[in-house]
Amino acid sequence: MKVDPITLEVIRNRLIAASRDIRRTVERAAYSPVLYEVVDFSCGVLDSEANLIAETPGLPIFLANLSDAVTATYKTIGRANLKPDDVIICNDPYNGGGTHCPDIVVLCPAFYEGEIRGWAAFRGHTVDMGGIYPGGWYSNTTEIFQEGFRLPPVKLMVEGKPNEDVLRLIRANTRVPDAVLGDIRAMIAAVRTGSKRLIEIIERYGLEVTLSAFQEILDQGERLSRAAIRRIPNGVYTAEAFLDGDGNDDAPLDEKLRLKVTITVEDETMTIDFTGTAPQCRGPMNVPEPSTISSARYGFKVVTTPDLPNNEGFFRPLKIIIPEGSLLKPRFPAATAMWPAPTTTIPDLILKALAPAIPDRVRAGHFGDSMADFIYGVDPRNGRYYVCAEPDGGGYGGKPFEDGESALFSMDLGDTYNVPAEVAEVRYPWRVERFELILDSGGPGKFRGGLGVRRDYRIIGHRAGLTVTTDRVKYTPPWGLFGGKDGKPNITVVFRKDGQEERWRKVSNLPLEPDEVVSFQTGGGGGYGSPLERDPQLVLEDVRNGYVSLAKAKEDYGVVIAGNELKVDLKATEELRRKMREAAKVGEDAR
Amino acid sequence: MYRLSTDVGGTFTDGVLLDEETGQIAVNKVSTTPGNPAIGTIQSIERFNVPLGEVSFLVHGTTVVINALIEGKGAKTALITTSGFRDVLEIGRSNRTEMYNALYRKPRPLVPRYLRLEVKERIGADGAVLVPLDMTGLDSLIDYLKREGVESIAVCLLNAYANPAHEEEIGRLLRERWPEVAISLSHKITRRFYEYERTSTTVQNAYVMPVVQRYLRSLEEELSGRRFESDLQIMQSNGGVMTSTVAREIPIAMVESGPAAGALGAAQLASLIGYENVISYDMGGTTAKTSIIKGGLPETTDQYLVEGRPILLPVVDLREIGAGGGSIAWIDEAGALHVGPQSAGADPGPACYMRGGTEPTVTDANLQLGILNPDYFLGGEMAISPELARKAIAKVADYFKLSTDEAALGIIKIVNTNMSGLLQSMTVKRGYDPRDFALVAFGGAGPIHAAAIAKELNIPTVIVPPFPGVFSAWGMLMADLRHDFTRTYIKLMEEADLAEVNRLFRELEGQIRELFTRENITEENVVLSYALGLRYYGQEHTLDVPAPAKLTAADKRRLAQSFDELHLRVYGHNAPEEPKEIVSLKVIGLGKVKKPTLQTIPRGRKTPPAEAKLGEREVYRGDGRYEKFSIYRRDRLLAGNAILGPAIIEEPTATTVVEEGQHCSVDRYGNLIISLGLG
Repeated sequence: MKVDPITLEVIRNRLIAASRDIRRTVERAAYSPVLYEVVDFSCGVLDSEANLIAETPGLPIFLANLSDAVTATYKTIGRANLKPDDVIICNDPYNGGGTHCPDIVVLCPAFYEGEIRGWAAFRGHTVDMGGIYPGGWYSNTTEIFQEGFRLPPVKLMVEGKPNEDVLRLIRANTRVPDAVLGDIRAMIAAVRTGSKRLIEIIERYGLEVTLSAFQEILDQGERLSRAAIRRIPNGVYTAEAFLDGDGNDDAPLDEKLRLKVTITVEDETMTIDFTGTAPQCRGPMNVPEPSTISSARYGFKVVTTPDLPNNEGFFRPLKIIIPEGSLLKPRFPAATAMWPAPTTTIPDLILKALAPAIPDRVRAGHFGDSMADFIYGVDPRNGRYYVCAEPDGGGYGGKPFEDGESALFSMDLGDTYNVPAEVAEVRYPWRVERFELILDSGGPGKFRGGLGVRRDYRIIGHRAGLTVTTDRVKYTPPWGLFGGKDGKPNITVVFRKDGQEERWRKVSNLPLEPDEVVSFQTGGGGGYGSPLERDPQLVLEDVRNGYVSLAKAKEDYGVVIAGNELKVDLKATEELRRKMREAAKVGEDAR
Repeated sequence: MYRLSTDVGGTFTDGVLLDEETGQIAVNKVSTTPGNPAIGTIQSIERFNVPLGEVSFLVHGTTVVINALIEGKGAKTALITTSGFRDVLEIGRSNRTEMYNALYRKPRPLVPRYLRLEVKERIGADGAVLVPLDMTGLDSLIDYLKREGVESIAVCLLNAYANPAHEEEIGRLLRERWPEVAISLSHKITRRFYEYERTSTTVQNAYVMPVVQRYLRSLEEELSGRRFESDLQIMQSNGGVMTSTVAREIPIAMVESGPAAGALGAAQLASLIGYENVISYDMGGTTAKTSIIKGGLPETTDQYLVEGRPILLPVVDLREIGAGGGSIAWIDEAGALHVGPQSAGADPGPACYMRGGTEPTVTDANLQLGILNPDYFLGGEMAISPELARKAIAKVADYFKLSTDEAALGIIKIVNTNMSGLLQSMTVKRGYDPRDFALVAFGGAGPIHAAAIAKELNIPTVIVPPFPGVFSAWGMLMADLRHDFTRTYIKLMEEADLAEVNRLFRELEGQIRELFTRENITEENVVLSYALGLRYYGQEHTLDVPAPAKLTAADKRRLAQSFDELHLRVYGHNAPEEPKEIVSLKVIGLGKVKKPTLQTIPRGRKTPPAEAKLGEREVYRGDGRYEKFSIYRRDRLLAGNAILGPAIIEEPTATTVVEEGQHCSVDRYGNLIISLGLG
């Protein structure tokens, strides 16, 4: 039986409402704000075969992880052993979790007439699931056992009754049991609501109609996706980038990790192949396979159907190849705590690879790292221990028709918000000295890259510890496209009391003395098109606005600006640009 | 004496006149004059033909602020910040709202970087002066801004919420040396922390200030030329009004005036007829807006976005989706049917308007189904074409091989699901049960869809006020003056110094009373209420807990307990043993205006008078089934009349549907009360 188009649209809207209700329930009931403040979650409803049918947008980098949790549940517990009102939990990066230990998935089957007809699932970040230090974010672990407590898919509730054994195990293995169990209770309530909504839909529209609606929703997604791929010219496209590596600066593990992507577009299908990517590393920068799939899907989504909602059907025409034992499909028990680092670069690389094919729909590279930092210590104002964990925004690449955006969070993050200076000064014993755009950080181009941000904290009246995991500093700066130049890369700087200036990429537990300043400086985006083609008036505006210095206007853009009134000397500019073009040509010929 | 309101909308300017002696109401609609909306406003006022000298209370709701923001037609504005922080406005919160969009575009700052100037000064989070204000460069700064043609200046310094001394000093010096320039100081608008949001609010205020000042001057000249002598009242986003004098200083407070008036009207109407909890449901040509009224007041939120830019002022908490009479039904590339959010708007409008629109809309579907009467649209003043509606809907029907009626019904089903989804998510989010609410339906299209949506959500009662097409303007007539002041004050509850809290409450009160004095509100009409914004230590969001005017030691425990209870209701759990933190102190001031007595309509018997019933019309109900709906003229119904569905009640600006099994009664004010009989 085929569902009629009107009932189909009504069911589609109800499914979207069901996944929104899952999110709302968590927002209402979650104990710790990290879940909904940082939007560090994803949720949705799936069919019985683990196909995502509808989702509420959360973190884009979780796109494939809900399906993986359902598949892992079938494999581990067995379909026949699941009962109505069971609720499942898992976080094992190698079995259902798919990321790192603090991320847990809670899921609930929807039974109708004795069979599983669908699933409601929620994935979210918990404050602590054990591991060597609080928080689950490490730069120096070498195996998964160091990183926290792992749960393969197990029953958190058995036919509507809490499984006290599992709850006790969790309680015993986290540093903050009340908060973690509080959040887990919220997730249970949420997925049960979602599962109930699914059953209500089946009851109202009938099993046959609902299941055929599921199929049609997936089929329509597939059709839309195929139509979108058709708008990308056939061909084989490649791109690569190097991550700095997963080591501490003081004790390097593996350095210089290659990420390589080869994309084949053939009519209505696309293959994203990661062959050529570095082998898995000794440190924690390995990406569990489901997260690699998510980040590939993320890039695919951006170049195909960015405005449409998600479901599994959209990804049917996409094939993903990941070499076994690589950084992107590590073998157990490789460490995965810093898995987001590579996944920030992967979707950007997909854009880079496809740039020659769809130049008007991509932008140049972004700063490429979440720039997460951790500062902790004892607040001298009240004697309480504090930990601050936050990412920072940086520059995005120039676009085909305008400059890149400044100061946005990296691609792995979604609709996440920064910590305002006024909030930071209340919460933490620091003074925010500046929060500003960095001059000349945007890659020069016809359309300039967006600017990076500098945020300086002065530590007040106590000794603090600092952990940073800054990447994309040494080997691959934010890239330019079509003659655009690279943006300035990320860096973290510590200004010591004795006037010393230390530049850091990754470091754990670095002591900061009272009155010392730590400065997080994010990279700018790459430029799009040759800077010699940039409208001199736009360069002048950039100079007036302090985005570009006078010296760089001349050096990078060949624009001569003169006089107190700041005017473009058009003749001198033309002459300089001509010389620069010639010099570039000579350079090219010499190569 | 009379009361008069005018509400400027995108297409129409609505006017309502109330005779205070008789309670009688007159309404009109004139075309909005986008070039200068004051012209349409005056046209609406003149149509009532009453001497303005006899108007005691004149309220105006205007889109001049929102339009200036949306169209980018504000004044050339400069911003003065603390050194190191001039980019706060451009950095924003670094979030990306469209995460799959490679070409995502952030909201652009309203002040370009070359007009964002830094001064040397620094206030600490505790209000201490860490670096004294250095204004030695002021004269050259003023010269620079004059040369650049700046008309308006926003000043937002870091931590000014804790100590505004430096902002005040800059304001004083600017006024002294450059009296013509418009000045907005952040602490005068809000004293809450979050520097990006406060800067954004101050900048938007500065950006629209010269525009609003010119607009109000021109409107007031017109009014006083017509012998209007009272204060012009301006509708605000918070559901209250303010005088035009205050509006000139905080113009940003009027950004959402029209929608807020609708919610306020629903609240006033509900209280008048004895409903405490209602959902307001306003469906027009382009969007559907809804808000929740609990305990007689519209719920407000502390923050609002316009074009992606935050405004840190209380605003009636409205949710909106692109579902209106003009919403277009369309088929996507995969062959799926959708309705909205694109709208045919007012021009060309739905296909049946005969203005060149060819896409099928919700209004076309309602006409096709027999819900709308082609001979009585706008009371028969506007001709609409069932033939063009049918042709437009045939696009959908042919594609899916459905009958035209089936396609039309499908469009309505889809738009109804979209709207019930919106209402459901609003109530679920707050932990409310829709069954505890009544639905107040208005706007041109609201009363058509209300009964079906209520049925879907098990809302037991639907209320359709008289003149639903101009209900927002009616709401304005019922408004009190209102000023909200919030002060960030962060302290653990147990460590809070009550003398300090009480002192701050008195300060906030002082600010409110000062405004009311300027607005000619006498002391006995000022009603103040107090609240603390509380959270558990470590949380981000706060909940407002009502507080007494003067806190005593005993109140601490009581407030903590109220917070635990509120947290349980709103979030479903609480943690009484956790320490509580105060984040903000709030005072809401109402300047009470005497409420008019509304006119009642004549009483009739249970059966409506014969002349009210116009006959019957067949309406398509699905599966090939047509049902006979009784048709009534609303203006001929009498109080006490009862109508059993299926029925359609027609009036010039709206059509009310009573579904089968539903029961509609007319109350003494002429409200239609539809009871769904849900037991």
